[in-house]
Amino acid sequence: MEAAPSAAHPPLDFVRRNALPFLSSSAALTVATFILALLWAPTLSQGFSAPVAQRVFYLHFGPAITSYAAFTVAFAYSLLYLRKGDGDADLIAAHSAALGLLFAAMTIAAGALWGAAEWGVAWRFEDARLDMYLVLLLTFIGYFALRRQLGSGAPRLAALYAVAGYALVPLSYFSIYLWQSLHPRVISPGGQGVGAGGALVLSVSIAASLFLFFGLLGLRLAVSEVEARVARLQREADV
Amino acid sequence: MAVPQTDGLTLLDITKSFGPLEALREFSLFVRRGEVVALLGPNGAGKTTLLRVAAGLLAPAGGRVLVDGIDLVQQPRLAKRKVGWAAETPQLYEHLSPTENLEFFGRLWGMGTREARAAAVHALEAAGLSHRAADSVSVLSHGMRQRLSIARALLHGPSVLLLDEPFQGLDARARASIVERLRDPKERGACAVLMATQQVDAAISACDRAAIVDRGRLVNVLNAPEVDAAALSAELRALGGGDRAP
Amino acid sequence: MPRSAVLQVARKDLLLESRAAEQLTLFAMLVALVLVVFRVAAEGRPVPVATALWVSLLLSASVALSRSFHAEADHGTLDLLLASPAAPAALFLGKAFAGAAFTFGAALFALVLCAAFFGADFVRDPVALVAFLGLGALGLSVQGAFFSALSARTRTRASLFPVLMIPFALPLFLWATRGTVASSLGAPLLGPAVLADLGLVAAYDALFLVLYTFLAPRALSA
Repeated sequence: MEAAPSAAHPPLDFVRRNALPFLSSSAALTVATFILALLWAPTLSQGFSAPVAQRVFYLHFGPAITSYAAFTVAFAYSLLYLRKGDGDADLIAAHSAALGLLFAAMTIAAGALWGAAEWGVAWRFEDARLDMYLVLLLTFIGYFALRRQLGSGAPRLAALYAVAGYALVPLSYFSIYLWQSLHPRVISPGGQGVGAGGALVLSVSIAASLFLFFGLLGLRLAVSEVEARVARLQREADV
Repeated sequence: MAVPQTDGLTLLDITKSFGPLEALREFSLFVRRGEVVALLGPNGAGKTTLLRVAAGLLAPAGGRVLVDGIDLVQQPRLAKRKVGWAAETPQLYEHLSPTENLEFFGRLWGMGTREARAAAVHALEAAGLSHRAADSVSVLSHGMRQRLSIARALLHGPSVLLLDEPFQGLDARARASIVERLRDPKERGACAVLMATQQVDAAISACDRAAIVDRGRLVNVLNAPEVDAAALSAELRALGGGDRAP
Repeated sequence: MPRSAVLQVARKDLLLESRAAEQLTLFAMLVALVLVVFRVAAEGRPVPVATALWVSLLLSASVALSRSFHAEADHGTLDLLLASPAAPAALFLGKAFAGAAFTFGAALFALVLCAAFFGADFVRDPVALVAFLGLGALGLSVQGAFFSALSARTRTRASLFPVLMIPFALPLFLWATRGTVASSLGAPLLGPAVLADLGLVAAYDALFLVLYTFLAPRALSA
């Protein structure tokens, strides 16, 4: 039987085998996040012109952290590919990068809702953190443009691009410290914090996003396994 | 061939694939210094791939390449200093003169400025291009560029000279000129010459041995003086069966 | 050997450019076109000159700097450079430094055109301006040389290059524009506003110069 792409990577094999449990857990945690964020989490009134809309933070932070996590997985497996030429590592990197873009889109959507309420506009181009996050998004869109344009040379060049692009992740995350930023500080130093109740909601939100990432990654790995099997059967049929 | 030689070019069990395509399969060949070996075979046989592996441009999936006993993968910079390579299409900067081209590549191959300049003058003289030394390469004919390309490959006195289709697009006179250079030990120095070509007549005139390549494998090695060029051409036409390999 | 190879490649590129003017022509034409677009679009209204300056540099660099390794691939000399004993990292560095010279030349040309189109009022601190242009040119060239190397062997390299390069050049663009604006409004070079942005540009340049020196050999291998 054709080995699954994750077979040589035990943690990811665990993710692949448990994709559906991860997804169902994520669904439950997401519902919990919504309920807790909208109905239970404390209202942070200091420094926000729309303190009720600030609750969107709990829906915004989880996907943001998960997008960084996904790009980190893409970076790590790109490095692995460059070191060992492992085709499965390239596949995992590509799947993770795609999911990173998905979670980045979710982050931006939630952030835009919050921005519309807080600033009156969904996006402010003069804000450093927003700009750097957009740069990161564009970089990983470029990653897929590269993969789409290339044939057999795609994995190596895409891996190099992902490794180079990852240098922008810390830049994006620490941008609020590198520049004057309009982006609200909640749990960062200088922010007012969220208290114990808020920390609980935040934890549930992060868990919901991470489980969704693991579930979707596991599904994609399972699909890749089936595709590999189909390709092998087709090759055998041609012979 | 169990023991790697310490002079010339040693190719030991070279294997190279491009995806599912096996371009080279356990290819072994030794070319000693002072010898000219021609690689003959149909399109897609793996001749250019072999030369690119020997030049250090492609990493073999298996096997070893030794240049004067130095492993090309383990010590690439040391080994590459001893290799001269001329591809099928002359690799020259069109907006520079022959002298400027030679001086640049000479310095890149580790020569000092004065050494490169002197070597360039000598190389252009040997190639019969002294009178065009200051012209732009863009105005040179194909034959002149080919001669210049070979001169560039020989400039730093390599131990191994790799030539890919050196007679391509040349008239009979230009071909004869290159054959003469290859046959003259003083002209090409004491280097091991491995030459890929489809011009059987020119190859047999120039080489000491002919290595027949087909589908990535070394099929046969013949001593050139014993070869009937016409019969060999017919045999090569019967091999292969269509283009392969990138 | 590595330092010598860097110098040889840079010198060769400068010599070639003095003959063929391939990159400089592209730079000059694109800088001029972008600034004309800004001038026309302004319709007599005030234009953020520093922004126009850096937009013209970013867009022209995203085309002109592709020729760094693409030209070598076109002429068949890329393989010859890689077959030489010169380290691939040295080839990259030589290209990056030569490209920085071309980009800086384009920047000075852009400066002259901006002064001609929009007036020279924005040049309050020439030293700060030249510092930003110099470091910005180096940064753009470092990005350009790497992505030119990365895309050199692809079929659609000309169209792919700007898509790959521009996101990485954006942070440079942001800091350089902001610093140039601050300088044009009278902020001193050694003041916090300008110095911070200059430092960020320098740090970004250094980070990617080191990172790409390690990655370039893999980018260039066949």
